[in-house]
Amino acid sequence: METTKILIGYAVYLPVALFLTFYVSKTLFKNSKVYMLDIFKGREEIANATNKLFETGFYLLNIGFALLIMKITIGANDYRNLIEALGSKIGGFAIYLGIMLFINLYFFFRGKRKAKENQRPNPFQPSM
Amino acid sequence: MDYNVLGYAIFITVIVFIIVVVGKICYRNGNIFVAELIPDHLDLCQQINKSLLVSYYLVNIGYCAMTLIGWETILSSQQLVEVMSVKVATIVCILSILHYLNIYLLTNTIHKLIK
Repeated sequence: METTKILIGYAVYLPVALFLTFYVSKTLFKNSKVYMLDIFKGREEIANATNKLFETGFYLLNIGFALLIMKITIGANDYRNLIEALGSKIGGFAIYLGIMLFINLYFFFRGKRKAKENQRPNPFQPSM
Repeated sequence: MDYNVLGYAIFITVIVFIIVVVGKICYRNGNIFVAELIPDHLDLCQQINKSLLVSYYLVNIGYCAMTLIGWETILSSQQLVEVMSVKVATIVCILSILHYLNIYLLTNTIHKLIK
């Protein structure tokens, strides 16, 4: 009956990983619009489009990674081993998500700084 | 029940769904970038975008169909889940790499255009 325990593990792991990804990207991209507006000098359509594209990429990357590391192997066939394996899987995924979040934030800040640097030599002119 | 056939059916369904959804999002949000490439010719740009979308579908779905040849024989439902997850994850990771590459190129060109 080892199969059933591992399948239970998958049934727990997948919803948790998907929910974590969904929640993190929702918070991140709700708050990133301001940066995008800054980076693209207030041109709202381009900022929104880029934001949406980044969000899609974030989803793809994280769900792909979550599925890639899904395989669970447990030594003995009981709930204790299953819970330990699940803990390490979900914990590892959460840490990975945190690192991705910080990398994304770094990119936002860098983009904002660069946009500011570009503005200083020739002051902002509304294009078109 | 042949697990391999079941796996192929689920895999193709899931992957086509993901590719179509991602393609739709890219198409809708990419319109504005493509429109900047050739100013004053909006229809032409939309046509370019449409052909890009079709080629994206063709390449990705075709690649997914081609990967079906390399599946191992699946003997249990647990193995089915594991093999499926790895296969779907590979495709999704390739998609995300392509996607980020696209964003990088687009933002670089758009920055030059805005300046």
